[in-house]
Amino acid sequence: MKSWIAVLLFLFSTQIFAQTEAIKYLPVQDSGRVKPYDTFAQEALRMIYGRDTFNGKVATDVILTWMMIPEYWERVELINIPHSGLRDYLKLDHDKKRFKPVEIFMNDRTPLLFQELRSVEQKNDKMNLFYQEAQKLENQLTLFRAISTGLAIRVLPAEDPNGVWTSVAELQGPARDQFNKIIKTFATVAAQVTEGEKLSKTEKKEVSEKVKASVEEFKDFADYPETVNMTKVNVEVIYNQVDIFKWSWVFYLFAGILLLIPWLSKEPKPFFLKAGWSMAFLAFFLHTLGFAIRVYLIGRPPVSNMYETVLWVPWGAVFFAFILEYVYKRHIILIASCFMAVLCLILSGLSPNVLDPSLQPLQPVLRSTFWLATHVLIITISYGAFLLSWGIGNFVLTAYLLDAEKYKKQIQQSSIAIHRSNQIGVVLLAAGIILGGIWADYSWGRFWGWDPKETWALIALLGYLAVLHAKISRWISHFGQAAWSVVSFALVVMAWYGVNYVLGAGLHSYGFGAGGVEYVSGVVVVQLLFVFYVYLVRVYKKPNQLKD
Amino acid sequence: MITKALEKLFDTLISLKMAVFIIVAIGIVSAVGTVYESKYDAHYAQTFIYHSLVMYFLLGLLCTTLICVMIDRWPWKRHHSAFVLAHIGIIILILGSVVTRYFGIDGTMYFPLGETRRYVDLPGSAIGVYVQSPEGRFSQYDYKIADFLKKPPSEEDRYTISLDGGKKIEFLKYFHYSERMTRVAESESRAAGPAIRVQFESSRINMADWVILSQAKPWESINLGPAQLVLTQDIFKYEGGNAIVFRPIENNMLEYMVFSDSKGGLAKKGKAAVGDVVQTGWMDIKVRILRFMPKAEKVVWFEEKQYPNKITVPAVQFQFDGEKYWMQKNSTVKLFTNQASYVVSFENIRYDVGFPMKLKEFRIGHYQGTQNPMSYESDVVVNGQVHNISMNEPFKHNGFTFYQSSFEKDEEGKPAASILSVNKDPGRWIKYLGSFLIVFGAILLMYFKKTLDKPRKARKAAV
Repeated sequence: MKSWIAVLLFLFSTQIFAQTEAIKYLPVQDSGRVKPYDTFAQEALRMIYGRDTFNGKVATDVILTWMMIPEYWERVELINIPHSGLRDYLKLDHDKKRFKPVEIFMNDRTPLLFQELRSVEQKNDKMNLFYQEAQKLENQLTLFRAISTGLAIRVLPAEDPNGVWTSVAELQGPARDQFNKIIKTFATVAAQVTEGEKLSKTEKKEVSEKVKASVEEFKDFADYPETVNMTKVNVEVIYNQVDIFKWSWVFYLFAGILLLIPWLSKEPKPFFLKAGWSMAFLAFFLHTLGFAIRVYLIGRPPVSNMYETVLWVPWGAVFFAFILEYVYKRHIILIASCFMAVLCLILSGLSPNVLDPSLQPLQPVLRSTFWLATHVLIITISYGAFLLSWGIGNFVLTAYLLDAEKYKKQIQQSSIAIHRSNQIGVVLLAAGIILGGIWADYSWGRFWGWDPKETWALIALLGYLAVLHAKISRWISHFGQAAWSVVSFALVVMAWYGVNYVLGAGLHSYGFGAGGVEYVSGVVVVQLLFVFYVYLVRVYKKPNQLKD
Repeated sequence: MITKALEKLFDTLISLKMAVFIIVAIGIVSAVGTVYESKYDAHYAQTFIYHSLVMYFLLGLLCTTLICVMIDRWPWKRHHSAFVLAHIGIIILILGSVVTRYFGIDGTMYFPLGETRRYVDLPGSAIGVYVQSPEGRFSQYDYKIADFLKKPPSEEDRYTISLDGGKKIEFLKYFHYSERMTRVAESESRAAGPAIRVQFESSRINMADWVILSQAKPWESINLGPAQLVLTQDIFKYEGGNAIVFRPIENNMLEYMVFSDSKGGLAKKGKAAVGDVVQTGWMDIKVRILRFMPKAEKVVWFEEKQYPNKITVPAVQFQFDGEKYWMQKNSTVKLFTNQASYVVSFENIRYDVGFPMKLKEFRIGHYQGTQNPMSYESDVVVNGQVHNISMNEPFKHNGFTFYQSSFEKDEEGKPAASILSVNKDPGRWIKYLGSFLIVFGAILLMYFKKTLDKPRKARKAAV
């Protein structure tokens, strides 16, 4: 009993707690694959609580205590309900976001909500945001229940490599005793920490050794089948801890700034250029490494959800920028690509609820990895080329807005870069769409089925084809080229994001902000207004500059 | 004069502004199509947008323009190769699509486990009429493909099928998206029996439902919340649980019996009329009699919906011999004339693949420890030989390709039926050739810096 009190007290202590590190490495089976307990705990806490940590405590420790003292956790404001309509429906405090599980479990309206949800599910393929959020709440409650009863944490492998692992709640005999050792060690460690004992370095080490020993003992006991790759499990824990994409964008940002200085100055100093290049290389290396690890962990190309493409597209932009920069030596290319990469990588980390960073197994039809890889990789990397032309285009528009005369050289230099980026994009997108057709034909006998995703990819292709044709016929100038490239990127955004989040969620959820629709459309509208504004300024303020 | 006009037309067609206009127009029409697809469904969007006259006109115009531009640049030089290849590729691709559209088959086959099938279901509707011979066998009397989506029948413009002896089946209405509705109504029919609508009410529940008893059955029962609701003509056999039994007696009165699980049998008995409340003694549940009809039957009709959902179905209404009938997609109605009996069916368009095929087995593989399918495959028998069809591994026979598309589960979650998509595409290699030329040309385009000449006239003027 005393140990439970210690666990409770531990939750209030603010000390950072590194001694339970070893528990993170325990393999568990969850959503169709074996993952470290660390990943499971993080995903669970993120889903239920909406954050990666609880009061500064790491997810792995928090989740373990859910199982040890569930009565306590039922009275902690834990369930994240971001949708205010749902809160109102349940007659909860309108201004709060997180609620005690018991508040929801005992709520009169909860069964009513789920009853309604069932009937809506039966009738509709596409649900509006309210019911999507209700579904999410149901999953949150189920998961919370499953964790507090110990049913969700499956730790003991089955004999059949494809079988269901035994959960903590179902453990029996020696297996249960083994697992209880981990729990007991954890409880003692928690007690030591909370009793305010100032542990010396060696003592701390001793404690973590103790935890490690209990975990290792269980691992030995569990006798994992050959299909469980312990190196992968260990690498995944490290991948979780090192936010590699964050470091990558930090370096991209430095690179962008360093390169911007010589581009704007009349007599560039070679130091900035060199430093910028090295920085960009370092960032690109980290970016690539992050991908390599994901590919290694999940065993497939990382382009099957929105999160992964948001990482992949800027990778493509930077990759093409290196090539074009090498050929044309126009530094704007690399500068633009660095800033685009910063933008996308920051975006990828902003909202794990919309852009889900978890590693998920594939749906059956996507399992023919070769064709999936080829056509999705090529299409999304073509978006990288368009992203690059969008970035350069915006730099050019800004230059026009500031002083078209002063930046004349830069504007002219940028034109070829935009043209080439658009060309690369068009070739790759056309090839990707066609390969997609071949994949579809091979997989279900339909070369072209007017599926919204493929149709919007085609519309984006047509948009850029129009820009290219208009440019080579000299129908549009440098300014028109930059402006229309920027505008056409809205088509890419629609094909890339809009089909899944606007059309896919049903037109009903439009404007309610399912997955950030309001932000994305806001950005698109602001972008279009910016282009229009620059156009107006050019027409009315400096009519003499129109013929360039 | 005419030559001048033609020349002018030619100049317009080969101008790049024309090209940009066509590109943008195709883009806009496609974008509208995706909105249709999202609001309605794929078939609807294809019928009204992607295969509309506007789209066909734009694609025709595109091909014309491409041909004219290539004529204008004749004789072609080396640096023209990229532009010529890409443009010929586009024309070939469109040509291949036309071949697929008019000579290809693209449908689905639904296989319950162990059954044999030989027909492919294609999108679109057909009306089949079958006549019964004196020996009781059915043979096809008429089969018509009825494009009701594009040309729905109406009271004024009826779609008619004539039967022997001057009788006619006249289709009056077609709803592409409709929900099946039912209502209980008084009836004079011979088969009609009593019907009762009852409400269960307590602090925790409030539910109401109909029970209709047909003449053929001794009693009818439904489960309503925590108890069984029974309507009987004379007897009822109690088999445990909570139950309330009603029996019609004279003067629109009902005799009721309340059975209680806690007592293990009859708990209460009495008489009641519409509006009366019976205290059941199962917790605090009260039973109220809302409606009673001595002779009633269920009336079915369909209500049109603007947008589809999971339960909407296409439905038609027709008139025969003065009576109106409703029929939903893939169902039949039996009709009788003085001479013969007919079966009318409203179904998907069927296409005979020319050989029977049997589903022998169907398997699902799961991701470890979950119910999420990882793979599924069917074993089919053709000509006594077993062939395996799985995701991405189709089976080819007689020019048809069979793909594993989907499956259905029974109530216990076991696989009950496999759904294959069936395809025959004589345009496939034409489309592949076109695709190859487009990509090859586009890559070459990067190589030749000088990609564009001015039209012939402008070139001459420049000289």
